[in-house]
Amino acid sequence: MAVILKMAFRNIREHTSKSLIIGILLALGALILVVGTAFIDASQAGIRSTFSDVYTGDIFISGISSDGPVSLFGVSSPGGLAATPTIPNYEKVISIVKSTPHIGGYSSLATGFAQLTRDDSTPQKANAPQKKIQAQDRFLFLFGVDAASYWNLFNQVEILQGERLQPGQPGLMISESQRQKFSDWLGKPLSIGDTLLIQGFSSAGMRLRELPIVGIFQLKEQGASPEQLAYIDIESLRVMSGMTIGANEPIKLKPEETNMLSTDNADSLFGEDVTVSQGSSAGIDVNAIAAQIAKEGTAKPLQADEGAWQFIVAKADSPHNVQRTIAALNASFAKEGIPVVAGDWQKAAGPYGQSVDVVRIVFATAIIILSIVAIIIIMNTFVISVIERTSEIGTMRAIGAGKGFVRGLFAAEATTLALVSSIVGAGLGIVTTSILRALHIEATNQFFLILFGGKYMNPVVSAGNVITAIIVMVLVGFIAHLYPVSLALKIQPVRAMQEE
Amino acid sequence: MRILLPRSDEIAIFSTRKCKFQFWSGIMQIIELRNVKKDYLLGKVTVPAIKGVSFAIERGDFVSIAGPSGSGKTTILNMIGLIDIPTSGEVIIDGKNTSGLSDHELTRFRHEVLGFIFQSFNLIPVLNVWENIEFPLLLGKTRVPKNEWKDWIDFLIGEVGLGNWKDHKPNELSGGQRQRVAIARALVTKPSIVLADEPTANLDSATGEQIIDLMKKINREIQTTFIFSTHDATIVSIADHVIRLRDGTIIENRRSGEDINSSGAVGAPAED
Repeated sequence: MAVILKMAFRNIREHTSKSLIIGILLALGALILVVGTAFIDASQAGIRSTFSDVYTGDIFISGISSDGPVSLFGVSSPGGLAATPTIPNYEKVISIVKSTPHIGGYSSLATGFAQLTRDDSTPQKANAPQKKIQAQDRFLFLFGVDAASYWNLFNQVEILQGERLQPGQPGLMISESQRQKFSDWLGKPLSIGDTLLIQGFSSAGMRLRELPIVGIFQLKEQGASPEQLAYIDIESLRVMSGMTIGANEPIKLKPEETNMLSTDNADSLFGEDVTVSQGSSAGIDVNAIAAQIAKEGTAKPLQADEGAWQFIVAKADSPHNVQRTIAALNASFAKEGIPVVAGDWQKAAGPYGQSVDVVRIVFATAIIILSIVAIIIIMNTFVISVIERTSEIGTMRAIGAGKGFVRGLFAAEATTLALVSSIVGAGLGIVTTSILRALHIEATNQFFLILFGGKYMNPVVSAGNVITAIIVMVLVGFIAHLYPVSLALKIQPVRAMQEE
Repeated sequence: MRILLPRSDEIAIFSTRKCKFQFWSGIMQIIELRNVKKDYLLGKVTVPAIKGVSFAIERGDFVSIAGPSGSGKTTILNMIGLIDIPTSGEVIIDGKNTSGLSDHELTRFRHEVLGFIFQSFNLIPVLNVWENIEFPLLLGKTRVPKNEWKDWIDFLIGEVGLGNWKDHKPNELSGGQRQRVAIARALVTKPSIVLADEPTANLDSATGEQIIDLMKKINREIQTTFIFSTHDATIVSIADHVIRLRDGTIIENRRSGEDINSSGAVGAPAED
């Protein structure tokens, strides 16, 4: 064994040019792996951090849709028109959430989509100095929050003007960039208290709402997140999304609309051709009905009931307990027969969460292709080495070296070279990653926000990634030597007798 | 003067012909070829390289297999060295019929019984003199106990006159020096037989004579059987046993002035 290693080291040193070719390829591969996985891990960590800290929490509970997976952004259905399911048996689900261990806090919310519109009904309004903006800049991704609990759970929203939405308070919270764009479009500066006319989209159709701005916000950490996010009171969102059968809210009507209802003669509401005869009210307690009608409207404000919430988001008391808690919740839901499902931030993030997987798949595919190319190049280099050492191999076989010895010799050379090269490459990868991080490169668009996992490029190397990169490259080197060694084993000892 | 003792499986007998004691394992003939043929396929044509050759070699002989180029001497040597397989016939070495042995068995047998000296020296470039000589000992069990390796290798280095060159790599040595290393390497496992294919072909005449003298000296002292495939008239002239080939057949089989016929019987006139 010692002589095999000694010969392997010396052969690597002796055949410098071939060793360099193989070594550079393997080192490059290790570098790419280390830097690439650092980016992907940072991207995933950044998106996870952004979503779990700002929007989704660690645990995301939603209804189940037969049209596709459910996320904060709705149902990923082929036509894109499926309604987001609401949480059935809400009180029971909340009871399960409360009783499940390792849950640090929870809140309920619903989401929807809307577009800023404007009232051009008067020439004054139509002729206001308005600037054009992109159509998507008028788009709003609405978070209808339970103001009593949501702000306790998510504290990444920094209020620049106004205040956060309060329980029962109708209104909108928009970001500073949205305020500027909306101001440009509407042709007037917007401030707290100004109203916005928004048009909501849902499977129930389109609905208009005029809501006051209660707060201007910005996120404490800019990450890969929906740019069009705005917070809305849950009541308004439910109405716009058609989530409830009715809503209890004061409506002001004009005098000409209420005149009909203020008549003293109820009979005048009906036509002359309606006749009521004695005896047709048998079995009907008229006095009881009259008493019911006489009651003032005492219906309670709309409570959290069936169909009122789409999601429940929660935070675990520790990152290590997230998956365990999700499993426990799902077991409880299944046991109770409630068609809801719990998942992690990636389920909640929907397309944003999948973007990391897409990047990872693309990267893995690229690595596989590069590895195949590297194996072919390294294999060819080893084959040349075998051909050049035909006499040496034949001599060793002639004087008593078995096939195992020759196999071991080439394996030692390949593995040693691969190990040294990949360690060097991984080291360079760590240095490269550190340099990139120190450069503090800023993301200029949404794609780079996702790739960087935040506003700035911040790749982080983990020990696991370094070890994986080294192992992969050693495997590449080992695989590459298999065919050449099979050629070497076919060299008959008689070749040693032939003159070089 | 060195006094050599027989191994435990050998007895010493006095050879009147050679006027010396010889060690005998009970088998006088260390090598025997019985009607060995070797054909090569060149495309669709079968070329007979060896056409039914039979001879025997005694233990301790200094043998020359001579003949012009293409006569088949290297082929014969390859088959004795078990690195080429006869098309038909038998090769018996030290009493063991080598027909039908697997590649692994042939490798082990070569390692235990044979030593090789090549025309082009064929030293391992990345090992120095000492390591090249040691190399065969590392390949498996040999007759040399491990605790004697160092002394034995140093002895051989001394015998071949390379005491000051132990740490040098082959590319730092002259042709003659490399061949000396090859001789020492061939002997390190104390083989019964050393095969040398044109060992002086790449050397100048003076160096070649030195090499031949060295091998002859070792042959006398250690009683290793040396078999040469050679054009070199010097080797032929000092050989105990000369086998001449032409076109794949034996035209002369002579041991120290005695003709040996194809059956190996001493004294009978050689057939024309």
